[in-house]
Amino acid sequence: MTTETIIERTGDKPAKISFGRLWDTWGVTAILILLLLCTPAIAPGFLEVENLQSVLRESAYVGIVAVGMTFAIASGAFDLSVGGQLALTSVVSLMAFSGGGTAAAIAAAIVTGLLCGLVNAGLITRLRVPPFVATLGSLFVFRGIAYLLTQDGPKTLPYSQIHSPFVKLGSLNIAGLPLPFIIMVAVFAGGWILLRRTAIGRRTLAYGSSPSAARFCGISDTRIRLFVFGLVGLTVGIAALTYITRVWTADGSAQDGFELKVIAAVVLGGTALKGGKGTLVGTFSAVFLVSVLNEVLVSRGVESAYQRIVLGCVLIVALTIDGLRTRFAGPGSFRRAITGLIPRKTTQATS
Amino acid sequence: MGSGAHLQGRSALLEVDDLTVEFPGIRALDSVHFDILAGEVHALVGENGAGKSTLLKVLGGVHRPSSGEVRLSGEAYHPRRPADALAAGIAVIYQEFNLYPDLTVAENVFSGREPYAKGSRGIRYAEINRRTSELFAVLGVTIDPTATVGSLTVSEQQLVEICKALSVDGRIIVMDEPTAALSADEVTQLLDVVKRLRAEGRSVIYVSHRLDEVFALADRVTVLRDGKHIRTCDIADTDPDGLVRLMVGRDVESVFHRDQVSEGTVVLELTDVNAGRRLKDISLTVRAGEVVGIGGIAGAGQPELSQVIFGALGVDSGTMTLNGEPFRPRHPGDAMARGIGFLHEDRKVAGNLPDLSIRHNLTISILDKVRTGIGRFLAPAKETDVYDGYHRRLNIKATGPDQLIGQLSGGNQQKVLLGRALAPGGRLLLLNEPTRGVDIGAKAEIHRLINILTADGAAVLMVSSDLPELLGVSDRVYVMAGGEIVGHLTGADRTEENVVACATTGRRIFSKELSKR
Amino acid sequence: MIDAIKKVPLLVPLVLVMVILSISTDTFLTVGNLENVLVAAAILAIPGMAMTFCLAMGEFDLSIGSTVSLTGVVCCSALIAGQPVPIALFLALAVGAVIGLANGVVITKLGVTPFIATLATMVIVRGASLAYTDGHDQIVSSAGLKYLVGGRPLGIPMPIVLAVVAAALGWWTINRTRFGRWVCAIGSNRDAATMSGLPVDRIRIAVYILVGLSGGVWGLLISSQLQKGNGQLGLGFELDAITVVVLGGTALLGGRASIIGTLLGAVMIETIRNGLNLLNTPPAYQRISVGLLLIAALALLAFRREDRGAKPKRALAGVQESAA
Repeated sequence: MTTETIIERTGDKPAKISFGRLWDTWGVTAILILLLLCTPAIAPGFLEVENLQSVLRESAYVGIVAVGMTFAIASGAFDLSVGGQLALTSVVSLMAFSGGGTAAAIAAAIVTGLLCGLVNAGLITRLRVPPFVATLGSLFVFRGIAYLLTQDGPKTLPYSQIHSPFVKLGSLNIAGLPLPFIIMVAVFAGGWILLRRTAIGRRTLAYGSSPSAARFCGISDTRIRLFVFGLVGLTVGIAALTYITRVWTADGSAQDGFELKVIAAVVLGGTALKGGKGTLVGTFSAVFLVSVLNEVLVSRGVESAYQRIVLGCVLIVALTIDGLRTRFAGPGSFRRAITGLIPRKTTQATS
Repeated sequence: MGSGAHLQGRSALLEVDDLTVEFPGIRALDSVHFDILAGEVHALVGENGAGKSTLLKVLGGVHRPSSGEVRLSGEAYHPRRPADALAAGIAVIYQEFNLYPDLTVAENVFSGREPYAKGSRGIRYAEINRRTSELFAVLGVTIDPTATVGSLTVSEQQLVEICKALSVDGRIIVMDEPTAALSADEVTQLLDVVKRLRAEGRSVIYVSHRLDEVFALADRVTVLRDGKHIRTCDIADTDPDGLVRLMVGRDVESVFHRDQVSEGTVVLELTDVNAGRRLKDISLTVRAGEVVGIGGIAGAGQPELSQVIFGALGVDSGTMTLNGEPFRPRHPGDAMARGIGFLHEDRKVAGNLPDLSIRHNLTISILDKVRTGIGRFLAPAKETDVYDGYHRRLNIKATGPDQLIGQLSGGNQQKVLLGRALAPGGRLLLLNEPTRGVDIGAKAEIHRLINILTADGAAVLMVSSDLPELLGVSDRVYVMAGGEIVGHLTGADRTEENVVACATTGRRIFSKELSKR
Repeated sequence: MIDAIKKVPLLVPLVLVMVILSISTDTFLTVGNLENVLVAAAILAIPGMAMTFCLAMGEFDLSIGSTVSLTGVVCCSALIAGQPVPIALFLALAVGAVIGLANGVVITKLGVTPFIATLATMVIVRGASLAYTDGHDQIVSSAGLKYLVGGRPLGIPMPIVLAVVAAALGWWTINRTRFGRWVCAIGSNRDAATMSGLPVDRIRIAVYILVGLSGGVWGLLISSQLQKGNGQLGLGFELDAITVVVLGGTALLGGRASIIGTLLGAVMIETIRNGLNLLNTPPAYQRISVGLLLIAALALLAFRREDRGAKPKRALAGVQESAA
């Protein structure tokens, strides 16, 4: 009875475009723009072309995987294994390159990434292991296999191959824009269409919003899991290509802590942890927010260790707001989330 | 047999005066009076939504009253937390148990009040196990205090709750529908336990839909209806029929008017369908152009029946046919592909997609139909067309297609979900509690819509615990009890008394089929 | 015996692995090697005890690996700065407790899910450790610190003594005290715990402090073993700690705890690692094996749950059925 009546009440007010809803989608973008406007003052040299290109290039692989992760989180799950997937995919792709050249390397990366994703989906749907534990376990398995393949030393791109088209993937600039960045923008565009304009994208959001209601809409959870984790694997495959052509080497320890960077970007971007919402615009801005922040810290001479601390704190702040907003969901929730931080006296009903 | 005579002259242990409980937009209890004497079993009856649960939750410290007075042994009683109620000796046993399935019986009984031994021996298990056994002995049952609660049957878990109430020396034990999920033998056992509690001098507030239990057990009975106190009397001063009349208490005929519809071909037929422990030998038919109602007290298997037809629950045996063809859906998607629309009874848990807009909530089950172009991408324009169509047809009050469904009123949410159920264009609609939590105006609109749909030849199977609705909207009514169909009421037999009698007293009434085709 | 196997299903595979290793290598079944296995298992079992509480409550702590690093660094640098051993140990444990407290407060008071909150703490604490050491090893040579791992009171290696004490305390707490029962109660049905007025938030914070403290002990043991501390220590340790507990049969979703299971889980992991070493397999296999063990244990648990059927809760019709 009570739950019904509470819903009843909220309906009487006409819906406005609330500040909270705007903030969901555009908040991070606003902060990013603000930060960029400030950079000339706090980090001179940041806006130089070389530096900007480097930032764009560096952001690409986090950004590409963040697209897949946005789907995962929108469906109400995590994929913690992306770091392991990236290491494994990179190693396999480099091996394929030394064996079969550019085409083989690209195919190997995509196939390996997809396979990793399917393994995760299988663990979750067939063995009924909860997603975060399944992917925590597979993180170590994937990384372990990558270590196994690189016992004799990291796999590398030989310097003699500097003119190979494969290497160009990472180094080419088109109209001043690095190719990895262009690939990333393409992945984001594809992801946006998938999420907003296809049935499976809509079903992913529906499933994340309420798995039980989605079931009664005829949505199969197996298919959603396969799609989501397969997509994460696919984006890791693409990201691995931009990664190895940038750093030229990979082994089992490649990109330790990658999963956190990616999850942080998605969550910062405004995709709710409880699922049902996904904003790729936000993710896009958040990816750059984090890398610009890092870049600024670096240019100010702050060590990488402190960058971790900043990243972790930013994550906690973002999640605290997310947690409070979930608790005080509904119109005007943003304001209530802020005021909710202040403990209130509970009113006594009777005297 | 209970009798009020021996209670003469005793003073009230608990008194409720002028109690009003308001939730935003609704008055759940309206100046209710209630009292219970020491050593009394006081039954609380009323239809769903009459306010029984709210009253219990006030006593249990879950809800706070808006106004009014509750006195325990003459002193003001205002529990602010469930723990306060327990400390005052009032133990409420809710339908959803508050037990720890992984802990032992004794640990559950003494949770939060574990006795400690001196030195290093920790919790005195020997003592709590012994005391638990003793408490069970008082109840006349034997349950191993060291068994894990999760391994017990529902009825044993109920007894653990009662035992917990005894362990705090609960003076007033409140039971909410304690027999809803019990077998006949278990009911008998529970009734014995309640009688023993009374013999112990404890008071029991007994909420039940099952009037046979009420008459077997209670000393007095209080009837609530629509949040108002209707009557309190000695059980000897009333009879089941009188009680039903008090519970119903409305002029039924005038509320719903249903056009007489000529019967069409059989759309859905179930023969001897069994599913798990919930459904036993269900046989029924639904014809085009008619509304078939399913009634019964909560937990009798009505929603399960509709879920079996929708493919959300598996069938063990029996046959189903849809439009004359064999039909065995394995997933809701199968049923939807065959044109069946479904409305879940719990809008909040299994209906709304809260993060999605109205438009997207409407189209989620027909995404195939709103795609366009070579890429078969979703077309927002087509989705908006769908929205516009239902917006007009169902008279949904919203600011626009992009409003989130959670921001609508209950009635408008329900209309959106009804639109979703209609969207597959189905000739068969499975509607569970179509007007639950919906205001009067929206209710009438939904009923009118059902009328229009069936006039167009759709078949509707409607589960409803709202008796006037069940009888007013349906052409025929099946009554369920304990997972079985115990009544089939047509024509003049469709009376509230008959439905209540079938659902609560174990009587079986099967009207003769009026026409066969 | 049958009862013991039912309660701790890990017993059978453990014995099996040991028999296989005894046959396939001639070095496994020697006193020296077995002692190595047991010492390693003991070091793992100590944080495993605290993690058992955390999982019994239905929650996780992913930050323990970073706590190991930071506490190790704190202890070592305190010793380098000339502090006496007890002060260094105390400082390290205090840091562990503070990390746990921070986790608990963020989770209970700010409403961040445990999983993400501890993930973030993991990064922050790791960053703090790296920042503090500036990427360098903090090398010490302290007999007092060495004693933590190398000491042999009554001829028994110190870690084993510590683990036995921790296990005894853990068993007693979980089975014989209110605190332990309340932890299981929260894991079993948190709503009921709140309704019955248990101090849920305080218990949760206490458990996170416990995990933080145990991370401190772990850090001390590791830096005692290596005679150094640095920012890289303890990478991936959180997975070890969780795997040990899950292997031991503590339910992932909370409600039940098996201290003996955790002990055996630690022995199991270290036996497999030792065996892989003796069989000259590359270290990478050890990582894979832990990941696989975790997944296998959870999948087995999921199937066992299905065998026994769902908990007979008084279900209203509807979504509960969906767990088909």
